[in-house]
Amino acid sequence: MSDYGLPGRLRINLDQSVVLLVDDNPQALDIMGSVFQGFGVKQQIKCGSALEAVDIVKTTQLDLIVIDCSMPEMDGYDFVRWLRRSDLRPAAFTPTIMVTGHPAQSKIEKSRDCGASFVVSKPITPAVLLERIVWVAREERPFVVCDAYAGPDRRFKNAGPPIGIAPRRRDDLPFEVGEAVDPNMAQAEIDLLLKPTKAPR
Amino acid sequence: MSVVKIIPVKHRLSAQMRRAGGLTVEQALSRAGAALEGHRAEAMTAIERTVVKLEAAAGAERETTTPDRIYDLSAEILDIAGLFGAQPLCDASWSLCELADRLRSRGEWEWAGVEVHVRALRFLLTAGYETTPVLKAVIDGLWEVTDRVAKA
Repeated sequence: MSDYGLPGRLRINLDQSVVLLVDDNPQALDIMGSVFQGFGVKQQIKCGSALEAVDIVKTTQLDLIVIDCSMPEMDGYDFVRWLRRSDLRPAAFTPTIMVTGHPAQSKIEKSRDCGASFVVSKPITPAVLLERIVWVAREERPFVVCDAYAGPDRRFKNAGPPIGIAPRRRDDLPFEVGEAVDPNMAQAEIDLLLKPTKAPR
Repeated sequence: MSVVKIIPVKHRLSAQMRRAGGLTVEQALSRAGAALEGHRAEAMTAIERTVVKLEAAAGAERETTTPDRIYDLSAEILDIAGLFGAQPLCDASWSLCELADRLRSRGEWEWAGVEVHVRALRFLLTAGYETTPVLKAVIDGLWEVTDRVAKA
């Protein structure tokens, strides 16, 4: 096994895949490009803005998009939301991994609803990234379109957070439920919950 | 009434990944790790430049510095450090982002907590990539500051 849960001998072939990398930080874009080259991706398109990415998805068939969430003008969330609701087929369904630094309070809802296939928080290592790519490729979740959401079905088996992912904020709930802090309910109270009775008048 | 459409999807990526050839996970990670190493020195220089900007923003340029500027500079450090698994730097910049974000979303600001974070970032620049007990104590201290602001 690799140190991040993928079997070390598992073979993956990305040499035919076309990957779009979007980040307004040129250095981060270069670094990400090198990592994908290391993964064996031969066709990568790098661009420094989501607006530029809009033009690219209209003209190029892509297999994976990796986009930074925070960018001026159009951010990563708005780009994915636009893509998922566009009439571009099959581009609208392209697996899209959103890379986030710190999720600002004002952006959390946007992140949940934008329709990304996976949101990865930094710090990320190549192992984390590769694991997410394999996961996104294997999990062919159906695409859901409704008034409030367009994107991969958000309902999938809850197997807990991905291996190695710890809560980020101090007030995040831990993965383990822990011991009960209140006394057990009396049987009569439980019965009442299961078979409610009319309150006496 | 809201109409929900469910569309089955097949990605080309899945089929491509299963094709013969390619790399093993071990090979891919080793190649990517080596490629990443090639960027490490310039990335650390870029992080140091950003810390210098933060020091100026929280010092000489304080009068004209906006909360967004502090948040953006801190996020810039997280962006680059986050690609190298530089955990202590990530934790400290994450805490500063959180502090700045919570304060600005409440329409408040205080420099003391920001200053502590900026000094810690300067110290962490040369502290390596592993969270030793000493560094953990530093990070815990930063989070105490951020949590205190969150609860205020």
